[in-house]
Amino acid sequence: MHTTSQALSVNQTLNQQLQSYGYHLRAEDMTALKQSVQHACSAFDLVESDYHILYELIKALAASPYADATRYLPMLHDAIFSYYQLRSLFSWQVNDATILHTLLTFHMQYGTFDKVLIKRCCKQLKIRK
Amino acid sequence: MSSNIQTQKKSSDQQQERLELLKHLIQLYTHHNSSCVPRHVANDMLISITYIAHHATGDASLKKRYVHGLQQLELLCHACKHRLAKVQLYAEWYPNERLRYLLTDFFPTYLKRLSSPYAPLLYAFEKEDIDYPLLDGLPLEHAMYHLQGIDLISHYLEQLSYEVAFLKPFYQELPMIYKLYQMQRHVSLFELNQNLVEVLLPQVLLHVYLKQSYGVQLDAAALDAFNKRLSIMRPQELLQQMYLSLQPYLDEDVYAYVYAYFPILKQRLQNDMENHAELFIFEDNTPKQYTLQVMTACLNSEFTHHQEVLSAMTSTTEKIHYFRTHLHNFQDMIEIWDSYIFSLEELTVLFQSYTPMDFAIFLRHHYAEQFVFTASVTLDELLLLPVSADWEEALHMVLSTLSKKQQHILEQWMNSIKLQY
Repeated sequence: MHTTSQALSVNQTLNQQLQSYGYHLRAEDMTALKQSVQHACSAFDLVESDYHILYELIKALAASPYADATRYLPMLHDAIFSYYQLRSLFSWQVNDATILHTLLTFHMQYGTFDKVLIKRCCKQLKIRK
Repeated sequence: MSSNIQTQKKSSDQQQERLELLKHLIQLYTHHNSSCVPRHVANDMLISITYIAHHATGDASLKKRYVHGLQQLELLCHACKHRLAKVQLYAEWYPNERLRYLLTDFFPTYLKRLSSPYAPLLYAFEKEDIDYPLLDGLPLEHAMYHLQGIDLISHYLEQLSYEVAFLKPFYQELPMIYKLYQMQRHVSLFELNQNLVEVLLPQVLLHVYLKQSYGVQLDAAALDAFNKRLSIMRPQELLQQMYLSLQPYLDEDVYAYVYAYFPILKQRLQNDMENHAELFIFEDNTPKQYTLQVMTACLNSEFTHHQEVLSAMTSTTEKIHYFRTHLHNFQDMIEIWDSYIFSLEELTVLFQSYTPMDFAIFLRHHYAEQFVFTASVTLDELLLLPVSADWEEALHMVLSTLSKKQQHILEQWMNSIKLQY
């Protein structure tokens, strides 16, 4: 995935971008989020080779009107779980960007990451497919 | 300490390289659509990475070995295509639906897919069974080659090219032979999971031995001459001579390939005395069992000799000594016991001379059926089985008199022996 120095530089860049929204991710938070990715992958029998989805979610949810200082991190964990649940339901022919875009679009509309939202995303992605 | 740190660093570097290669394969698999794949696919990818790196020579980093391995596999793939093209030329001779499917559909499709950019994902795997058995792969079990993917395909095609070379000189006669086979067995070779060289090898051996030329057509006069020779030759020598006469007609590697079947053929001739249909021999364009009977009789002449010697002996000690030193085939042993050459007392003395290991091997063979579905068979269970001959009665009597310790050892060995069929 990343070596330690690469990871540090990615964290720095991310935090610079999050600064404008008033958020800051500590190293422990990043470790916990990466573990969350691993847990979600295990739960849905997937193997992830990259953390680019995690970085995309971190950036996107920072801009979410439903997030605040207390809800930002729990929301990120939910988003990770929801993304990998959706990812496991579709083959590679539906690309990562499409799934992420659909998930975030519906989140912006309804403000949650729950079962109903996943059903809505599935319906939308099936229509697109 | 410093070597420990170095080893750890090397292992961590290798892990990092493996992850990068995995990432590369995931991108290849998903057409750059996703960085994520199902676990079973990722497992296959890791197998592919190891498989490809294994084909490289030298002790470089994993990445370098992967790149070198890919080059080697490309060369192997080219060699396979070349071999396939050669073997395909003779596809029409093979009246076997499984082999024709392999030659005209399975191999070409597989090798074509290996020319695509997705080849690294495919080298280690062959999706379908190659269900036409080779002469050196009987019974059909690919696990016996300890190969997979393109290695297995390459090995298979190489062996198949030897089989083509063996059949090539008399290919015009093959349609007639297939008809004869059908006449004798009432089943077409087209539908059978039967190796064609295996069918024809005894016939070719006889032809070469009797007529000093490579072919399959035999006549009654030649077989009569063969019959006369049989009376003055030992069976092992005969089969060996038949193989030797074949040598000048075949290339060295083809001969070596066919010669590897010698022990199996010898064993089959000895074992299948009562099952003549297992071998296919024809004479004057007529399927015959005569030749086979002569051949098995010949192979049995050694047994007949032992039988005569034992019958002439009067001393029990001599008899037992001769029996223990000359007879090692279980079927022969049982036949001797069945022919009343040994009295019940003599049999008891004979069995008393057996060690627990002798008993273990014998019981494992004789009561093979009892061991098929049971993990552990006890001696008591075997002793409860019905007795059908005098020698079995003597055997059971001796077994029941064994000490507890001997019985325990015998049971342990009996259940741990792995038999080769």
